[in-house]
Amino acid sequence: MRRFALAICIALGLLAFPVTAAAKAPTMLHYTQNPPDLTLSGVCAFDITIHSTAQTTEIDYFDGSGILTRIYFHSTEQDRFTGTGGSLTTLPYTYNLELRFDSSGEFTGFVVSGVILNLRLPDGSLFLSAGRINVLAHPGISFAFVPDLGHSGNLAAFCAALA
Amino acid sequence: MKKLLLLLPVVLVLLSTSTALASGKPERVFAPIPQPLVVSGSCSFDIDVAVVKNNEYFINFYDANGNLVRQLVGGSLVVTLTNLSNHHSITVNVSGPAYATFNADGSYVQKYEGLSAIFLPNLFILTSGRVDVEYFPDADPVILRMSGSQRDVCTLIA
Repeated sequence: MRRFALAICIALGLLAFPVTAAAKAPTMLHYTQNPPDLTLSGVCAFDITIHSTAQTTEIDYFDGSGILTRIYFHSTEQDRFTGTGGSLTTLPYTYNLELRFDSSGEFTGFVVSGVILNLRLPDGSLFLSAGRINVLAHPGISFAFVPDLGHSGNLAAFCAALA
Repeated sequence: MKKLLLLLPVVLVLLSTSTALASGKPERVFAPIPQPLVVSGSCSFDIDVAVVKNNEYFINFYDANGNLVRQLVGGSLVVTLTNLSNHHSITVNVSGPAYATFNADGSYVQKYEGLSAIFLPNLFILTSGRVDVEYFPDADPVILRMSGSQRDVCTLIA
């Protein structure tokens, strides 16, 4: 679930180009994202590289003045993790991501809910993380493995499989 | 006259249902599970869901216009889940209960409580505890909340 940074970029882009007052109805976009690979430190004892693909539906909501107030993303993502000794590929998993803004464009909400990760470990067991993340409570986060509220997969087993 | 007696309860049920819809009063109806039921796309194999015991009922709630807005399901439900590739199976009590809230856009949120069997794309779990899932008319469902314990059906009957 690495859409955090991309979502912010998309949102900032929209804020930089405010729509006209006539465009008050929500707009819907469908797209596929193949972001550059991400290297993460601190999750396992070694760095892991993440390659992601996500298919997203985005709905942008505006107030009566045409100011962007909320963005809703519905994404189905698949990731490949590579560690020092192996790699793991997730099953496609689905989540919602919602951004809310005040009148000055500041974030007032940034919440993810859904499956955070869904993959099968080499021993056949399921790594399932699902629930809700308040992204604003995790400044600088670019990828999540476990939710704030919900069910968390076994990170130790995940790292062992990549070692 | 026997036919008439048989017809009478049916007519009464229909009358009571239409009255419930018009008045917004809740109605209680049997919750059937279609048979055969085969789940594909949750595990790497297809799964047959066979009803062993079903004594579950919906309680439907309508708005003033007769639109279904909320639904409770409870009772007793036992099913056998069979891996159609090797016929490994388990029989489980998945009596719930569950609660659905319907939205005007066709989406709805199902709140599973107690013992449930939840199948989604690439995931089939037996849950004990609260799981909320939002279903959409034209998109994959999303887990909104998950607590309690989960068992992986794909592993259990692999």
